[in-house]
Amino acid sequence: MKHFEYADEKITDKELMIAMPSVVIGVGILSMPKKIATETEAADGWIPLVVAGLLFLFMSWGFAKFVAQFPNQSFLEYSSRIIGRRASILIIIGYAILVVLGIASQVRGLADVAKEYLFDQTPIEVVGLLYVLLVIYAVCGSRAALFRMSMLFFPIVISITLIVLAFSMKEFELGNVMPAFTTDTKGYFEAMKSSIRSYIGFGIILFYMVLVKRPAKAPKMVAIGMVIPIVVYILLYVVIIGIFGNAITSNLIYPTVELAKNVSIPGEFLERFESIFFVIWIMATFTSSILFLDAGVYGLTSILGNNRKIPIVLILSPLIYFVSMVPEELQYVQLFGMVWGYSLLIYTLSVVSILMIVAKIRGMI
Amino acid sequence: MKRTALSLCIIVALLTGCWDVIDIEDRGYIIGTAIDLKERKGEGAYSLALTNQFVIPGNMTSAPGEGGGGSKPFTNITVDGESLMIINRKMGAESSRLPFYGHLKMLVVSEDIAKEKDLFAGVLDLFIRMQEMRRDIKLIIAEEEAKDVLSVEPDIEKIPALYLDALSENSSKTMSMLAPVTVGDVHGFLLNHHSYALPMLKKKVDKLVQYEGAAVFSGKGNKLVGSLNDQETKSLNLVTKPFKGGTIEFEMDGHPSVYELEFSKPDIKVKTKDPQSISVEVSVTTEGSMAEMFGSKSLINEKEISKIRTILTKKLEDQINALINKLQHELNADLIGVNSVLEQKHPDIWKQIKDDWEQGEDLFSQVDIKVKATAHIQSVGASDRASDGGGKE
Repeated sequence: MKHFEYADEKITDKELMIAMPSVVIGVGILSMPKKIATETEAADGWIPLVVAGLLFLFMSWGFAKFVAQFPNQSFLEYSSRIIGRRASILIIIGYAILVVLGIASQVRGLADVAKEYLFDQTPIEVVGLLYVLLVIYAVCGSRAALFRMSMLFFPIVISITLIVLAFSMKEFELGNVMPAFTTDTKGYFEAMKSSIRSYIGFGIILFYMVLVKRPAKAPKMVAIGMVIPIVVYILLYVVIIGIFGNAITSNLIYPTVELAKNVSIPGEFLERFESIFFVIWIMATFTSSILFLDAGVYGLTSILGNNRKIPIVLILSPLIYFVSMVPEELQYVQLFGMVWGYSLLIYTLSVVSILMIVAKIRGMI
Repeated sequence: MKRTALSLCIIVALLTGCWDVIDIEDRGYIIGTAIDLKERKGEGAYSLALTNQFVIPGNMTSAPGEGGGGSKPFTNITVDGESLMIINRKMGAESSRLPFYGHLKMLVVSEDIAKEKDLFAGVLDLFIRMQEMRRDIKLIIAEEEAKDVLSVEPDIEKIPALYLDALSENSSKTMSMLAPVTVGDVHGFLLNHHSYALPMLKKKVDKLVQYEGAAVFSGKGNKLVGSLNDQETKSLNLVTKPFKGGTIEFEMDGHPSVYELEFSKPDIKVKTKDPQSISVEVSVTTEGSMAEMFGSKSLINEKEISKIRTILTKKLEDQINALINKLQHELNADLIGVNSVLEQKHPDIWKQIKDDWEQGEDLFSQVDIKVKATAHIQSVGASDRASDGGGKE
């Protein structure tokens, strides 16, 4: 069998821009409104969403700006120059472990939702296995192709989401959104924690910047890319609250699915719109998983050599599958996702700040 | 070659078969469900009867009324049991097709169930929880046996549940009919502890049912506490939502007259500074025309029109006052939505009193509610006078 190889394994800055929302929007979008509505009153949840979103926008812009100062160098190369090779390898291994846990949590989330709404009888183990196999298949191939695929999927995902929102608008009740600004500080703080978890994943730019053709333009593009999930989340959240009201939203496990179920296309020729919604949601989760896994694999291949890519994927994926099936009940799945989310955030933040500080001290930037 | 064979084997193993395959012929599409109370078995234990209306697609094609050997396009299956989940399992054993609720449109619950504390919410729980259910299932209360409602055989529609569904859609034209309330709506009322009203159905003759008034549920115990008659439902519709169409009958100089509504618009204003002094003003503005006059008065005359306006306004205010009086003192159920206005416009005060609104101190029943109606008369119809008062003799 012969593979078609792209001439260069480079990506454009636009592809990096689309990769940001692709990796950020994933499994979490289904349950995000519930978590935020539980902590806030009426539609106040948009505030933590905006604040957390802007925070991540600036952070990812800063990251990109920092990494862009080392053009055409892989993470291992530039971080070796800053803090030495051994420490860099440790960082990459740590990231790879978090990637394994992260994909595991995505696999489990996807399998749970699929079992709940799509396959009543199919065991989650089978759904999860098939998904992992698909992710392996994607990651084993060309790296640039992953970016091209996210770019292909992205408009479909966004347009279906917008259709869901637009056709729901007729049930929007302004009364549900009122009163504004009644949440107490503690509520905002708690909601902030859930909001933050909806935006993680931007750490991939640490590894992918080397692929970008014009790194100087990348920070701007990354920032623009981060605007997309912010807008999508806010629209989705406000529409869901406007339709269901705060009390119902905080009691639905997956409010976004219920929103899609509520959609009725005028003319009644398409009654079950949620089936289309599930397709695009799985596409969004899939792009998130492949980009994320590939970032981890990319880090490891930079240590072990490029020809080891497929063995690395084949070692990581059984681990992913195994970890994803460990938690037994929904609450543990959620706890697992939460712990992972915070660890990844703290890890990425501390790695980048250490790199930045050391680089500054050594006068490299 | 070996690789191809291996991959083929893997493909065969992984991609064949489907755990969830149910052929469309094997699915039993349920379009309406009725729940009745069979007997009370002491505290908190009941025996329920669930009636599912299955569609028989094969018999759908012939037009209603046409023979077809008496084969109906639907069948009703009733199963008894202690919980709906148990009944549901039994249902699968009794109907050759697997019950599928994804297309359920109407849920009819008997008044007996609604009167039992907590049973009603318990019954609804299944319909809210099951993922194949949709939140837009319409919920109605049957005055007598719920399953009788599902067995009416109207001439114009093929399937009783669709007949009920079509009837409920008429609510936007008929003022004495409550707008359809869905399972999703009730879920919200239950979570917010709001009182609410559901449409009531009555079987008239073998072939017809009629929506009549509304069943009132209190947010406190979540059970049926009373009902509204046609007139009260009409007033409730006037004060709770903008309405297009409908008529108001009144009497003028001993003659029955009809005012046809173009549209009406309610507005609820709440003035409050502290929980002890809450004053509510309910105002309704209507616009419409005179549709029927059994008199021989000229209506172009401004004096006549203002006289009609006065009578009409009084009539409207009296009716709404009667409703509010009943809600405040008899049912203690805030159906007009003062609580929502308070919550949305005065969140601070609402936080203090939300546990004393319909329960505790019963603040709702003590609140001073003023009613103000404004009726505009746009036109008087095509003709000024239908008769000139007997003419010359």
